[in-house]
Formats: sequence, C-alpha cells, structure tokens
Amino acid sequence: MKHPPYHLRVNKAIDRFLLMEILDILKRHCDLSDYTYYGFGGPLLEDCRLIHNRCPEIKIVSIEKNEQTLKRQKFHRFSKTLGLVHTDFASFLANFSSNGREIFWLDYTDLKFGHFEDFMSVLGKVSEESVVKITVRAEPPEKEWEEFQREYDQVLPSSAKRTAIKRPVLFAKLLQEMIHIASQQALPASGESVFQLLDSSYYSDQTQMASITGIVCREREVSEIKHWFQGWQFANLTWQEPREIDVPILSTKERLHLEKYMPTKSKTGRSLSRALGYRIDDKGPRHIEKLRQYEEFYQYYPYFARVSI
Amino acid sequence: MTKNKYDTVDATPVKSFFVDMLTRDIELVDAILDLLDNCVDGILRQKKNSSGATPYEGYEAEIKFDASSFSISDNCGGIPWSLHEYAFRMGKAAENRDSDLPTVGVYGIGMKRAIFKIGRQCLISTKNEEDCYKVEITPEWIEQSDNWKLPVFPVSELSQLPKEDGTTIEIGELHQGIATRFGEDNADFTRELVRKIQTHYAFIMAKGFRVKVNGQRVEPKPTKLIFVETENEQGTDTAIRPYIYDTEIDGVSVFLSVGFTRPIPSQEEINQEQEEKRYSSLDAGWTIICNDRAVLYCDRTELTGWGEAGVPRYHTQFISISGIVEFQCNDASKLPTTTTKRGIDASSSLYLQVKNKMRDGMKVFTNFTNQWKGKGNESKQYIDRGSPLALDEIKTKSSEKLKLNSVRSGLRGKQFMPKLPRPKPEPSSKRRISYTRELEEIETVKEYLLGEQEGSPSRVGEECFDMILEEAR
Repeated sequence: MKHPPYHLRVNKAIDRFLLMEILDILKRHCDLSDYTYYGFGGPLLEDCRLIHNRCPEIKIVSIEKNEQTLKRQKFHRFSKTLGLVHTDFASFLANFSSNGREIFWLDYTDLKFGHFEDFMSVLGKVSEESVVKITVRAEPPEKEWEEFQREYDQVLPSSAKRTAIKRPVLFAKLLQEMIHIASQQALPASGESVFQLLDSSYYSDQTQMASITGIVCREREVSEIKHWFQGWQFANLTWQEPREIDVPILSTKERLHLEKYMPTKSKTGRSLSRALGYRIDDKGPRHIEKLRQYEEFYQYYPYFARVSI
Repeated sequence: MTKNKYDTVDATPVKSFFVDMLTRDIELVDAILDLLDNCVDGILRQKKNSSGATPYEGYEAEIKFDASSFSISDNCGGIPWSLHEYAFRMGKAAENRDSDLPTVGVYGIGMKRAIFKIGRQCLISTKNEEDCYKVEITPEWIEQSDNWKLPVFPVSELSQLPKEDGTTIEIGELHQGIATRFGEDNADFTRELVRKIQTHYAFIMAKGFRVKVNGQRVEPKPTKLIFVETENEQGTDTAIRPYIYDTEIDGVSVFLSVGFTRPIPSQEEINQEQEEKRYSSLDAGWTIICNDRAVLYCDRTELTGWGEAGVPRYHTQFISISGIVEFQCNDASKLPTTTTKRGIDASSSLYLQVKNKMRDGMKVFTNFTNQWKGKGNESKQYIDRGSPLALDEIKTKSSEKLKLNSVRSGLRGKQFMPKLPRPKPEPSSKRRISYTRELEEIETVKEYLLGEQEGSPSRVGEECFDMILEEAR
C-alpha cells in the first residue's frame, strides 16, 4: 500500500485546478447540484476536498478497494455528505447506472489496457453533459514495441511508430491519440452522444502522466459546448497536441517577488527571468521555459509550507 | 375463351435489392477489402499467374477518404472493354469466370456492393492498353428501377489519359453513417481498416503489392511460427518446429502449418490475463488464406477446430499457438469461403476434411502446453532457440530441410510431425504447492522478504517456504 505524496505534487495540483476551471465554466450553463463526482480519492481525499470547497453543491463519492486506505479516508472525511464506497472499480462500474449527471476522474497511477476499457465503459454509462477525465502513467514503457502493440492494439492509431514509445513527449502524444480512438469506439459519431475533448495535458512530478478531460454530449450540442469553452485559455477542443505542464519549484520568497510582475503581457518567461536576475535551470532555454510555464499557471500554483502543530 | 390468369410471374430483379439489401450483409471494412481484391484480380489477369516470390511487385493501390468522398486507385491493369460485361453487371455469369486464374471473385458483386455500401454517386475511370473509359453511377440512376444501363464516356484526350493501366473509383454523396466514420470517427476507422489490411493482405503485400491509406503506407503483419534450425545437443531431431501438412484435392492445393508464435505463458501471466484483460489483440488461433487473401484471422472457435474432437477449448494458456491454412485454386468457386469472402463456409466438404488435419496439428501443441504447464520458464529456453518464420519461409523449409511423410488414412497428402521436447519426469518425491492470496498481501510479504528487489508472486511463495523450512529444520 504505497501512496505517492499526491498533495505535494505541483504539476498534478495544476491539473486538478484545470478540472476546477472546467467546472466553473460548466456552472455558468448547467446546474451543478445535478452532478455527482466519482473519483479515487486516495488516503487524503485531495481531489474530493478541492471539489467540495469549490463547488459544495456537487455530491462526492470516492471509490476505494483497499480496506486500510478506506479507514484512512474515513479519518480524513471532510463532509458528512461524502460517500465512501468500498469496492474495486470494475465491480463499481458493473453495478453503476447513471442518476443525474456525473463527473468521473479515472485517476490511475499506472498504464494498462484495462484502463482504456474502464474509460470506454464509463463513456457508455454516463449521462449527457457529464465530464470524464482520465489520467494515466505516460512514462515510455520498458517493453518491446511488438508487446506494446499486442497489449494496446485495439486503441493504437494506425500511424503509430515504434519510436513513439521511446520518447516521453511522443509517448504522451500517442496516449492522447489512443484515448481519442477509445472515445470514438465507445461513442461513435453515428450514435446519439459523442465525447468532446476539453483539455489535454501531460506533466511530470518525477513520473510523467497524461491527463485528458472531455464532456459527453449530444452530437448536435457539440458546437454549443465548444462555444462555452472557446474563451478558456487552456481549452483543447480539436485534439491538438497535448499541453505540457512543467512549472518550476520556487521558494515562497521567490514567488512573492515575482508576483509584482504578474500578469505579464507577453508570457515569454523573459521578463520574469530579468526580475529574478539568475537562472533556475542550468540550461538557458529550459530556464526561460520554466518561467514561461510559471507565468501561465501561477494562479493555480499551490503553496506548500511546513507547519508545526 | 377465357385468358389463363396463371400466365407468368415477374421475376425481374429489383434494383433496390442490390442497392439497399445486399449491402447489409457486409461490413464497411470488408467492402473496401473487396475493392482491393479487385485490384489483385486485375494483376492476375494481366500477369496470368501468381507464382514466384514477388509476383505483385510494382503494383499498388491507394485508398483515400474523408467526410465527403472515398476513392481507390490502382495501377493493376484496368478493366479491358471486353470484360465490361462482368465488371459492371450485377452478378457474374458462370461462363465468364476467370477459369484459369487464382482470383477470389466468384459472384461478380464485390465492386458494386462496395460502391452502394459507401455512397450514391460514383465515377469509375479505367485504362487498359487501348481502352480508356469512364462509367458513372448517379443517384438518379439508382432511383430508376427499370433502367439497368449505365452511361459510358470514352476518354481520348491525351491530357486525361492516365500514365499507367489501372482503375480509379471515386465515390461521392456518402451515406450518413459512412460519412461520420470517414470524418468524425476517422482515427478509429483508419486504425480498423489499416489493421485489417495488415493482417488480411499480409501475404499479398509480402509478395510485393503495396497499399496506401490516406497517404500512409500499410506494412504487412504476417503470422510467424517459431522454427528451430538446429536439432538438440543429443543429436536427436527433437526441436520446436511447426506441424506441416501439404496436399492437393480436386484441383485445390492446401498447405497447413501450426506451431508456436512465442514462449508458452507462465501461470502468473495466465492468472493476470484471466483477472484483467492484458492483451487487446492476440496472435493466437487460425488464419485461413484463400488465393493469397486471408478470409479468417486468428480464429479461436469451433469453426477452426478448437473445443472439438479431443482438442481443448481455447484458453489463455494456449495464447502461443497459431496456425495458418492456405488454399490455392484457379477456380475460386472451389474455395471454402462465404460470399463475403471474409469467412469460411463451415459446411464445405473440403474444409471439413482439412479441419481434421488442423486439429491433428493443434493437438501436438496443446499437448506440449499441458505437459509444460507450470514450467513456462523451463520450456521457454527451447522456444527461444528458434526464429519466427512466415508461411513462405516455412514452405521453403518443408521442401528443403524437413522430411514429410505420406499420410495413409483419411485425406491423403504429406505431413511433418515435429518432435517437441518433453519435460523430464518430476522425481516422485516432489510435489507442487500453489495457492492464491490478495495482491496487497503478497506485496507486503515481498517488501518484507525481498525489499526493493523485483520478485514474482511465485518467487515470494518459494522464499516463504524456504524461510520456514530453515526454521523448521
């Protein structure tokens, strides 16, 4: 029972905030009290807590198969309305039927074909205007291309090359294409509902992850939903390449110093570089890129502090 | 005198039957493969035979599609005007069959069915030596129930003449469902089409034929069976090699081979696969090829002998067993295929006889798998000594290296029965222990016993036993 320190991962924290932004936009057009959030809260229920704080009208259910983790979740329970379900996800899905609208976050720590099957199954079961987010490990796998093909053939794009599983950036792109294909298989365009992509990112807090969020909607409502999200700076509505989230680790003192210059007009990272007066990465282009990332995501950057109780 | 009211009845075919009904019997991808079949049949008509290592070298077909149109163009010889009768008529008269060529077209319906499956407007342009013409199908023609004639437009202007002999079929006014598959579901549809061409056209592409889909060259994905070149150290002929059967019956030549594609799975791999599907695609099962085209791919049902007459039902433990049967005949009607050419006619007498041999071959490898059950790692060394060979390479081996014996009962022919390694009998003092525990619990014990080291559940079990044994002694 090993749990990564989810609550201390800055890039992951930004990914969570991106989901919050999606819910904020959704709130302008839908009644969020119709929604139930289903996630794998982990021992500290970080994602559930965040959603509850931001949108208390959303009902929240965490699914957990490990008994000890469940006990820990009960200890960390932040609201009496939080539902804690003790089961494995496959059994949960088999018995799940939609009641209202849903927000599913399939937040996996590894990568296997079964996750794509879960994703397809969720898409087929949720109601229209439900949000589905899937996060999978996006580290290039240590296996032969032929073996990878055998495992993922059903969702592997025809243009995929063996080099795609060798390099992190290419692999993140490949995973996005695989999710795209899985969504088309679960909800073909000839049917009533489709999966409209909203956001696609990849990031690494030591391990690279790919995270994709979309909304299930009626085919004829796609243009309206696109319109809702068109103004959102992080929207990816047409399966363009996924966005990298790679914010720098900065001290609180550095962040307070940089706040004076935010927001910047150009978002190139250069003005913050001048403001700092030193490099935060040995490599020049990487230093600039990290500061550019900070400019882009600083509003979502969490503050971590040591607290003695 | 009163007129006999029971005069004659009208049995004229109705056009909508061909346009709306026949198209329901075939999947979209299979309909497109029918168009590819026509390209290959065109090569055969031009070259008159398909012998040699790369008879299709230099020939290619290119498929393009988007939400509004579909096209396939080839350089495979075009349709000579003398053949227009059976190229464009709905159905083919018996005397028109390619009696001396190993084609797969039997009923003369593939091209038309594919066109009607995809859309309502089509222009077929073809050039064969001196003949160069276009035939157009319009939505109005489809609506006219009595008009069976299609307009033909000769092409004589030099600028309009294609450089090579070949045919281009351009389809427009796509049906709604087809347009979404070509458009919004493009990624998934392209994957499905390319995958099927890779597997079903593997043999033709290995013989030189090229296929492109929306600009992307399709690479063949043939089934390969493990073949160990050298016999074992003891000098006996024990080695991992495929079973082979070769015969000719009523003008149809049959070549069959079944063997291993990879090492047999460990017990853990079997358990994992049963708990949660690990592979979304499997090479296991039978592939059946008729005149170079796969009509069945990796079948693991009773249709190919699994679970019948002493062969066990397919199960994950047989994940490494694969077989290929090749039927070749100049009279395509003798091949055991269904009308869609993507299935086997299970009642065909020829197929039923060959199926007996398929089962014979399969038993060799299911038996091996059962004998080595639980000793996957030990049997792996024998399989790893070999290299995977495609069907043509196995044929070469069978004629150059192996001694095929005559079969004296049932369907006659020649066969090679491999001698596979057998596990050493376990000393009677040893017994196997196996049990299952929660994964979390196994992880906990693993961390306790092995720390950060890698270790399979069976190693954890062995370590536990050894530790307690030491204490007990």
